[in-house]
Amino acid sequence: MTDRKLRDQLIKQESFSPAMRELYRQGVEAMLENRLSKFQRIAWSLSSLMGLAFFVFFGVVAFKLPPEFPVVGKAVYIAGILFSMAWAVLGFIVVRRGGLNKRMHENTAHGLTFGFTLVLMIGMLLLGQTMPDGILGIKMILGGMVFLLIFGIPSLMLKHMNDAELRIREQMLDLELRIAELAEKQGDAAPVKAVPPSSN
Amino acid sequence: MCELLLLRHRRGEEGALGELVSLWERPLFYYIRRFTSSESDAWDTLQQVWLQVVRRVETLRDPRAFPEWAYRIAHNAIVSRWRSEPSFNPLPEDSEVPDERSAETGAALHDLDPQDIHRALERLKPPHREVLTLFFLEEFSIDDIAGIVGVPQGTVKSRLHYAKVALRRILDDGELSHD
Repeated sequence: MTDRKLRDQLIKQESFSPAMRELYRQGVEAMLENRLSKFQRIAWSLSSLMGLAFFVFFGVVAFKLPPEFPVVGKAVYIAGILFSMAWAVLGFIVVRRGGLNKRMHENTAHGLTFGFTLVLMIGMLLLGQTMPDGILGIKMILGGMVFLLIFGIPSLMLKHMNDAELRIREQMLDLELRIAELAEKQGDAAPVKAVPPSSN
Repeated sequence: MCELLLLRHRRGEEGALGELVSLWERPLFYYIRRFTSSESDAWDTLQQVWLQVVRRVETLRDPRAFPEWAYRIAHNAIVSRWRSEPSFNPLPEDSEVPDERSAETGAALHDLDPQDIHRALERLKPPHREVLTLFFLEEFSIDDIAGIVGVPQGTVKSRLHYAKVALRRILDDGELSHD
């Protein structure tokens, strides 16, 4: 008897009540729902409120903009309104759900951060070029780049690097597992024949 | 397999942790059941173990160490349960002995009937039962068992040796009652 078989046989010896196991399973399933911790709940609530505050801020400023304000500038403000509204809604959904779907919610958060900083950077780039004061224009372009470099790109890069590393490790493990399964099947199906010694 | 599931969980795949729970539920239950007076206590303890696993799974740096890590959590959960009981007595410490016969006895034990081993385990002292259960279930090394149980390697060697001898004696003496 192989050791793996002994393990499985031992486990089989242990009887249990299906009703008790069902009760335990219900408890575990509730636990696995990836509920938000107190800290996460506070953090997501705050980010939702911040999104709401920025939504009001961008909205009020956009409303009060003079008619001669450049179109690109107005577009940046509108992007700000949309981004902050999306951020507030995302935070609200997460808090209301009481759980975090890492793949969906975190990807959305990263996408929003990168998307907004990219829009901001492009807006500042375009606005900077139209500025009558050249120095101020360059400052605006640099400001946009700093935003993109500090907030947008690192957030996206870290997310992708982490994902890529995990994906590669997962694929390698998947391959290892398949090889092991194939080897096991082959071992069960056809015992290895002894190679006869060479007659030479 | 559990490494793969942990990686999938870290990538945010819903259900990966559930699969991991299903995969390790029975062996952990077997281990815990050896040290709990009732089945309901065992399921309750196992639920506590999963609670700890879910809370701390992100801190597990090497997913390959999951089995040792999970059994260590289970060991701690069992000890906490014991301590909360009024009749709690700390486990006696063993003296260190050379483990010359362990390998030989171990090899012989693997040829025994699993039903007999299962019954005989109940007759062993808890410290001996624990190391032998871990040895049979996962074939952990002395080092791994020491890490799980939280005792020096010498103590594990000693317990494993005495446990194997005691198990063999129980089986040879025919002390087990068969249904």
